[in-house]
Amino acid sequence: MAPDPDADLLRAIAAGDRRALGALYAEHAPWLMTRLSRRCNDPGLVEEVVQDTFVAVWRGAGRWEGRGPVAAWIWGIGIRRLVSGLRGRPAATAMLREEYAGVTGSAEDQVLLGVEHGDLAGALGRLSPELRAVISATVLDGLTSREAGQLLGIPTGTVKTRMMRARAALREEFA
Amino acid sequence: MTAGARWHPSQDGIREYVTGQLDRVSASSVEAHLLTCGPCRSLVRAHVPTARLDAMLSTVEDRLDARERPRVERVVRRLGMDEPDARALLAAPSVRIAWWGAVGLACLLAFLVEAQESPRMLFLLLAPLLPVISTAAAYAPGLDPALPIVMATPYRTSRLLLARSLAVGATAAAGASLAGLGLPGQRTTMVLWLLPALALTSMVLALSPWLGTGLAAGTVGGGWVLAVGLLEHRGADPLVAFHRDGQLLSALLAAVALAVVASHQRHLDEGARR
Repeated sequence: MAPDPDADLLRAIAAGDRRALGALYAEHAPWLMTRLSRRCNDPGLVEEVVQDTFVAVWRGAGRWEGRGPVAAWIWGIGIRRLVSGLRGRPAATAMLREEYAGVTGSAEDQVLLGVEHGDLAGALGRLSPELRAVISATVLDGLTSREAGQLLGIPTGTVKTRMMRARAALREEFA
Repeated sequence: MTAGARWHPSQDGIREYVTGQLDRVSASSVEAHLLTCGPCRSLVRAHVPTARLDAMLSTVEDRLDARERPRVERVVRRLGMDEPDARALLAAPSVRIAWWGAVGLACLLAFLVEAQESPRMLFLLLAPLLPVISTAAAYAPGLDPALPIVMATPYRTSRLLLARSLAVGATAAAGASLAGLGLPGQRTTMVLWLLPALALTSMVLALSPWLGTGLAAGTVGGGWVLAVGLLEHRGADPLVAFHRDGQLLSALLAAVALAVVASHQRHLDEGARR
């Protein structure tokens, strides 16, 4: 595997190099902000969360275990900060942007996705928006049921039952 | 898997992802891909306003700076003072000198009080001078290399000076009160000197635009000692200054002096520049 420039940056950050933090920020803040914006429609909170994340990266760079992509580690921090930032807010702020769930991408994307995911993409696409939101928060965003519930503004128990229903639906598709 | 054979989202796909038009399933693919693909992250970056990112980064850096600030400043900020005030308040070594000076003088005072046979009187006569001296030290332009910098900023000098005298005066008052705790007998003694001290300190503040801080402190402090000496000389009890009439006079003087300070903030700004 090729040497990861991000890992070098993290090591420099752990040693107290501010410029390395700037470089890591330049690389990762844009997508982090974009990805968080799809999960929270309050731009102020998203900015705060991105800033919190990089402050946490600065303090916790030494705790990175060197496993997996650095971006995934950063995302893990960011999404958890968002979840705790949303705590106590009305669920409306926390709702995933369901309005985009029904919009289909370009034909080209559909083909590419077909190549990448085969039937899974179609199967996921046929799930109801609530089930998809739960799958996306737990499987793709890597949250626990409790954290997913906080993100989506629903009780933990509901996350678990929706997960079971989603799993059952997917199993049926592939049976 | 080599980089050449990898799947990448199309440029349009990235654009639709950033603008929120891409459907959920495709968006999830893009998100998973971005975790491991630098070139595609650059495509996302092109859609995010640089100015916003830069502003956010400088906030991050400010917060990291704040973390590395001296403990005193963090304590002061936790007490509810906002950042510019805290920074300006504590920037000067003279404040720290005045601070420790106040504590040291309070200890000295306590010692003198212990050694004296009429401790109450000595304490009462010296205690009001403590905040005066501290305030003067917190002000003195010669002692504060940060003052020219503060004056070049759009920060009100009078606000700074008042904040400093408050901070230092409070330390001195607390120190003198502690010394007063060591006094035998009446606990009320501790409180008696506060009004005269307030009067003397606010007179220093009021006079400093015209006399300069050092001279103002000297004049007021000297005046106090002279008044006490005069009372003594006439055979009167110098402690009369702390009785009802003395307290009333102190309150009056303090009120007048503070009114002068309030209405002459601008003069205070100028006075500090001397």
